[in-house]
Amino acid sequence: MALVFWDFGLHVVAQCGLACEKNGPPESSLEIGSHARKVTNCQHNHDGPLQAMISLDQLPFEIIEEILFYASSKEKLKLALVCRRLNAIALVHLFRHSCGILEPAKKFVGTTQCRSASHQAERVQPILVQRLLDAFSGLSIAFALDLPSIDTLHISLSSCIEHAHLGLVTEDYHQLLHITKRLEHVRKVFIVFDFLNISGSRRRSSQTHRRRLDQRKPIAAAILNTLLEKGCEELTLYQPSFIPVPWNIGPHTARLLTALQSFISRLGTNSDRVRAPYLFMGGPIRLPKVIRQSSKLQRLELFGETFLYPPLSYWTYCILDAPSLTTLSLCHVYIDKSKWEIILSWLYHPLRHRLIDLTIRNCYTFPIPTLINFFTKFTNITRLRLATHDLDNVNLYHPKGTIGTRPFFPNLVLITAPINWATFLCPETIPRPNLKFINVCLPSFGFGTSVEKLRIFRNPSFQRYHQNHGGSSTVNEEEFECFLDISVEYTADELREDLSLYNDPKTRESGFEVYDCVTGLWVNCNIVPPASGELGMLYQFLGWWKRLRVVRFVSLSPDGSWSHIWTDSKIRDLLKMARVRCPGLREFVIHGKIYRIHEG
Amino acid sequence: MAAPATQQIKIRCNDEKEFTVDRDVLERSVLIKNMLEDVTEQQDAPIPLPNVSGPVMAKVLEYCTHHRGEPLPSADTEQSQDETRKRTTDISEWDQKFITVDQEMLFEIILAANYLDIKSLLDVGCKTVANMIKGKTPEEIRKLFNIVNDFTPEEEAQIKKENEWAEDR
Repeated sequence: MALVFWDFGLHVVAQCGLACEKNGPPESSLEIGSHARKVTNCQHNHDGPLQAMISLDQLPFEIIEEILFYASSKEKLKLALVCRRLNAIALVHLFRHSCGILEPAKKFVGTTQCRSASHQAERVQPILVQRLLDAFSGLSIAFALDLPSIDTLHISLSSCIEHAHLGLVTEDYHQLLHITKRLEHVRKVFIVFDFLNISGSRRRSSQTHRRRLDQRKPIAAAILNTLLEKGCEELTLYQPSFIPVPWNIGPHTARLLTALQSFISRLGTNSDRVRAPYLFMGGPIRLPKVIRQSSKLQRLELFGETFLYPPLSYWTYCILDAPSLTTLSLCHVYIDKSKWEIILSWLYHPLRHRLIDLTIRNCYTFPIPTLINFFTKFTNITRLRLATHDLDNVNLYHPKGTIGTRPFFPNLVLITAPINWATFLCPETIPRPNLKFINVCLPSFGFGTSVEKLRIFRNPSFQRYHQNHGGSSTVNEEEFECFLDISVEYTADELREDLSLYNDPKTRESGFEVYDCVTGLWVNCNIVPPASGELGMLYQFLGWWKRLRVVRFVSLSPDGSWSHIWTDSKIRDLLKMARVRCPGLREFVIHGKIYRIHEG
Repeated sequence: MAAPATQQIKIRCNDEKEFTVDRDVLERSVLIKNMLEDVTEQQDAPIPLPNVSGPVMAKVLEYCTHHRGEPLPSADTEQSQDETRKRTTDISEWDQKFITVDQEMLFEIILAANYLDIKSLLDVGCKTVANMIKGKTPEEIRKLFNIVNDFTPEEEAQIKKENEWAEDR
């Protein structure tokens, strides 16, 4: 089951193992005693006919929750204002409700329905939760009941200036620290740093705002340290862009960074319970040089940002020097060409290469042409996912196979569109008996690919294939799945539908592998509106989107705070350019407003 | 199941008041139903119900008698109901009349229903309370239920502020 704690400064999605722990034997023999316990806290009120009057706030917890079940959110909020006890219960209820945990409080007393609770918890939509739960900052105490069994923590450190004005930011960090200290064992931690400005440098920010951010940082550092002590084994860091200006690191930021670094380097080292330490880092990551080796790290994913960001720093990719790595995924990671050699030498050092699962997606500096037979070094790799525009020069035959039968890696995921990729992948003359699973994804821009090329892909070796506009669909693990995306022939309606699908939080959660294709970046992360002077980049992209009908710009900030970037003149420029370069394009949608290309 | 519908069961409330009730009426209460299933022999001794008083029990029995024969929600259906059941506060006409009692009795009935594990009665009670709350301000709720405001003014202001935020949604 999941508990989610959220406020504007930070949110915590906490999933707890309450479900299984309290899923004891059903109370089949119902002695009176066990039931009497249920109502002990009001017994003094009704063990005689002449008792003091019972009131709403004295009812047992589970009954109040049952009542709340029939109340609207508005009424719950009002009840929260009545008195302390009702406040705690109402907020927890509201909160659970917004997490999709609909059952009333029976789980609290541990009697029934635990399984369904955990099942529902999986359907929690972070986006929804975020919106609904921003308001509940004073909630921590109410969670005391469930806290110890929480094992997944989701922290979002939001530094939105719009939220900071409420003035609760630092208090809430204290509260989060308090919560983390009470946890018994944390397994997974998600940390989402706000994209814009934890350092306060990228937007207009007041002194007070900056001071607030500074106050939060040491506490955030303490939170990280606590989490580490609690045995965290999986860390997901998303967009830790909190050092956009490395020369401007103050003492507070430095402390936070140090905590983060020690967190990463000690991940998995101080607990026997940890099985496969995992680290995900997304966004323009720049870590200073403290991190050297992550000796225990087994699974690592780096997810960079778009072209707009400069290459990773040396100190960041030093985390790749992890001798225990078994799974590595690099996506949109821009490392200097020359540095790739160092990394590769780490990766296939004979003493170290335990790597069995490798993904390299859209790392445009990855020097494939110079690395013919590169993959033959990785004799242990069984699953390879590769996204590149330059596949021709890669020898994808599995090193353990022979050239005669030409086996591929048994589990190959290609996300690519080389000019002649179809002939490369499955020329009709060469059977690929060992190929069980192919995942092909056409990127949405840059290559001008079209559906026709996919048709060549029909090969007798594959019994069936399935194509699905705009997303992916696994027909069967044994067969193959094909990703098409917004670059293929879409009608405006289809595209709109697909985009709304992409933007639907449900889709994101349902295991739709949109991140596995290039589109994923563009649609799920949304198109970052170009800051001034960067329109040229956008023009270039649009030129590539040959078959695109509609482009929708959605900003990452929910309140549309980037709308100032889209000045009228800029939009005019964009439309003018689109008329010339993108004959197929019909409209832009910018912050929900539709601009038709050919109407002027 | 084997017992004939006419079987009479005695129960004794905490104020020594005793009732003799048809078994199928009493079996609306999951608590009593399970107790009766555990007891194989015919017992003359009344079942003690230390958490329920006579007047409340009379009321509960009135409800059970009216609803006798209706299918009991099994554990499974209850679970699926929980997922699908709408937050409707509609109450059937008879139930509405039945539950039109003073507040103290209402809460007593709710507690008894919870104790005796009569889900439908508990629902009726909870819906009634939810209906009472509807459209009232916090102050009115306090007054209605005689609840003491134990917030400090600052706390109240802060919660209000937070709630404002959520109310727009």
